[in-house]
Amino acid sequence: MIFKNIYKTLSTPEKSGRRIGLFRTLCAIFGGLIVAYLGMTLLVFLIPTEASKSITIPLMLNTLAWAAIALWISISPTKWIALLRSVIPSFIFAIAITFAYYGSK
Amino acid sequence: MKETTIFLKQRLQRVHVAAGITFSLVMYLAVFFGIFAILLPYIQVWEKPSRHIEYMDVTKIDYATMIDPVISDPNFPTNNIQITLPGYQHDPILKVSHQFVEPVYFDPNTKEQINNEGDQSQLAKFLNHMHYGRPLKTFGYLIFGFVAVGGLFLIIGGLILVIMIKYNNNAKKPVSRFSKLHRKILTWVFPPFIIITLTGALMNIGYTASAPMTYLVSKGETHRIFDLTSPILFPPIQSVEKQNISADMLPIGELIQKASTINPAIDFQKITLINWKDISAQVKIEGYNPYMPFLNGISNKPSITLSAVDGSLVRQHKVMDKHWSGLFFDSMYFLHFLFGVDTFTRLLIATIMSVSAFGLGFGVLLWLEKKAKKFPRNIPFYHWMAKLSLSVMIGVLPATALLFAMQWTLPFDLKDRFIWQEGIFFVSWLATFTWSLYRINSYQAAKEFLKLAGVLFILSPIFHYINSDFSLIQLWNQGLVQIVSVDIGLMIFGILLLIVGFRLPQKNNEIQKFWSKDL
Amino acid sequence: MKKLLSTLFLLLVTNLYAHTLIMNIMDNDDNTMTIAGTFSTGQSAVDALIRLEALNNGAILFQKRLPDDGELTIAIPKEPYQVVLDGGPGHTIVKQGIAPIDGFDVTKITEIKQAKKLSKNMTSRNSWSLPYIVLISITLLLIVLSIYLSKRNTDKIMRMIQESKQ
Repeated sequence: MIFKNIYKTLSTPEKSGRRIGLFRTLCAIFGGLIVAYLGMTLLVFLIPTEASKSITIPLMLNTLAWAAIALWISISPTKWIALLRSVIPSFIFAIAITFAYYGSK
Repeated sequence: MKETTIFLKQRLQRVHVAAGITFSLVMYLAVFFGIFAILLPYIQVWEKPSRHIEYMDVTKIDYATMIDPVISDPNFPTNNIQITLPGYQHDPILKVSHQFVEPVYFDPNTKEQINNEGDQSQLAKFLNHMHYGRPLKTFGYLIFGFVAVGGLFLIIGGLILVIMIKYNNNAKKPVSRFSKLHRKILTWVFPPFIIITLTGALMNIGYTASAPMTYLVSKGETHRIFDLTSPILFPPIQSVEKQNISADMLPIGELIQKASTINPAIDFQKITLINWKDISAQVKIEGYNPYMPFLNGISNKPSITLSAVDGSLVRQHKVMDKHWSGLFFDSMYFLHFLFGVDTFTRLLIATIMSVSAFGLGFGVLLWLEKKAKKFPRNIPFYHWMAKLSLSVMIGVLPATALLFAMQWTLPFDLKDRFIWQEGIFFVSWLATFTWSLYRINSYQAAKEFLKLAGVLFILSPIFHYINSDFSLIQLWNQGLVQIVSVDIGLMIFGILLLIVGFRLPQKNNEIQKFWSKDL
Repeated sequence: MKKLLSTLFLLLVTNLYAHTLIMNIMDNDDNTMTIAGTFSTGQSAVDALIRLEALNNGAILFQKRLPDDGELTIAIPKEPYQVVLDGGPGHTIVKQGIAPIDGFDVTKITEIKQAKKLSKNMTSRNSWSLPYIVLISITLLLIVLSIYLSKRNTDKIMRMIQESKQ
């Protein structure tokens, strides 16, 4: 019941887009950071060369990715979508990194 | 769907405005001081009496007279001694240095050791430090780093806004004028701006937070990013086994000439002496290839290693020999550091960044103008953000001008000279905030700041001439073009500020007309 | 899995120095000690200067640069001393010296003409020097003045707004 209420609150779109709110702001900053960081870490594994050589590009693009993803999260239609945009990509990237980490050990 | 699009545009606009006003002041400071950082090589020569010496051709210098006494000192390290050639970063001196000792400086004309001002004169270094928040140490690095990420956020968001929203470009009112200028300027300058900001964010916070990424990608080997990247980007000098047999060394000037013959494209900057005076001695001469900009100068330094005994080629590193990740690294950092580039390129980038600073300023003016509309017509606009941004963005001008004026007025042997200089800078900057609060009319305060800055910038070269015992003509005749250019630059900048200070209107109706007419 | 999770928490790590100098001193239990200088990256600090300074008067008891293997084995002095790894400007590490097997002999003091200053780990600023006092005082004054002027002018503006409404 509680979860249903929380879900209802988060998934109700606001009446105007003129207010971003603390929830979206925090999701954008921290969620964006985690998604970007994990995404770029995964990119290091995906680039087909040694880590010492492939890490340069993802490290450099990390902050740009953070900014872009934070923007994407901050303009979510509802708080629920903002939360999903923070959590789902993080989850997917974390699993992919786990496979990459243990798979090629 | 239409409502969704409207909300999306509203959200984009709102997030851009909120982030913009949050990050604007620090971003402006990073850009403002960054312009001085671009001109750092010239300022660092202008500021020091010891650098008012003529430049020498690097192939005609008598290196042995200067270097031998230094490296013969039993307390001086014996290997991997670095010689920085005159002309590197426009500095006319010869520097003999090693990782573990204080450098020794020479005038290559007189071959005498010179007294480097060291901590007593740090004007260029200080302006560079202000550019990335160093005075506030770790806190400053983090703040400036986060603001850089905020800048990237704003650029991406701003570009999307410009594409999605059909803005009115008829600048009949101040609000629309500010909006148009803010959009137009930043739309034009965003490509170099985004690359420079990206590398700035990396330097301030990217490396600091790289530990988990490094640990994961190295499979637990290390959490230090430089353990992974240093062998690729900054490989150590290959060690050569010392034979312990003394041998005569070829003159360094001759070795530089040989290196020039092997690769004439390189502007040589530094020489590393390996096993000097031994039969296994080598010299590694490295520099910058101006014909391949973006691909060298930062981590990628083309070099030629010769035997110091007979001048034979030991190895050569050309620009394209670098691994692709190193080339990418240099291409991204190139615009930020501009190592080795010519004056024209520096001035071009400085101009683009000055224009960007105006773009940021117009964004703040736009926000303030919208706030001002809520005030009744006949009531002066008195808002904390207006006063803060006035002192931060305009008040910084007289404070910086005072820095330059003090450079050649404070005695160089004054105890705690730099603390006085730095402290007076910050105090005068704070005083502009106090004055902004005192003056209800912000435009009047702005005019006063601009005029004061103009006068101080004009006085700076005059103080320089009086206290350095060099006139403009003497400097020109001795070929000290870099120093002359700083004097002329300061003079021109001061005059421009004075003109703007006088022309800027003060009364409300004049202000409205000023921003509405075709500028 | 634990390692993976714990590394994610390393996101909270703040400052990482690329190139910190480290000094290790090992007692060889024969009245000698081995001093090694390395960087945090593991690279040895060849040519860094090792100096033994007497605690009584700052006399330099021993001074030599690290050889190619980055280590020096030297006799432990009989008087109290400190070991300094001088890695150039801004990189000085100082550690208390290990005592010899029979302890320090305080009667054995190296005589020098004038006592010298001992090296310190970090050069610390004298926070209360004249420029600091003067500048901080002016700063405080300006802050107080700013607050006063802000309040005064805000009140003035508010009065003007109220008058215009009447």
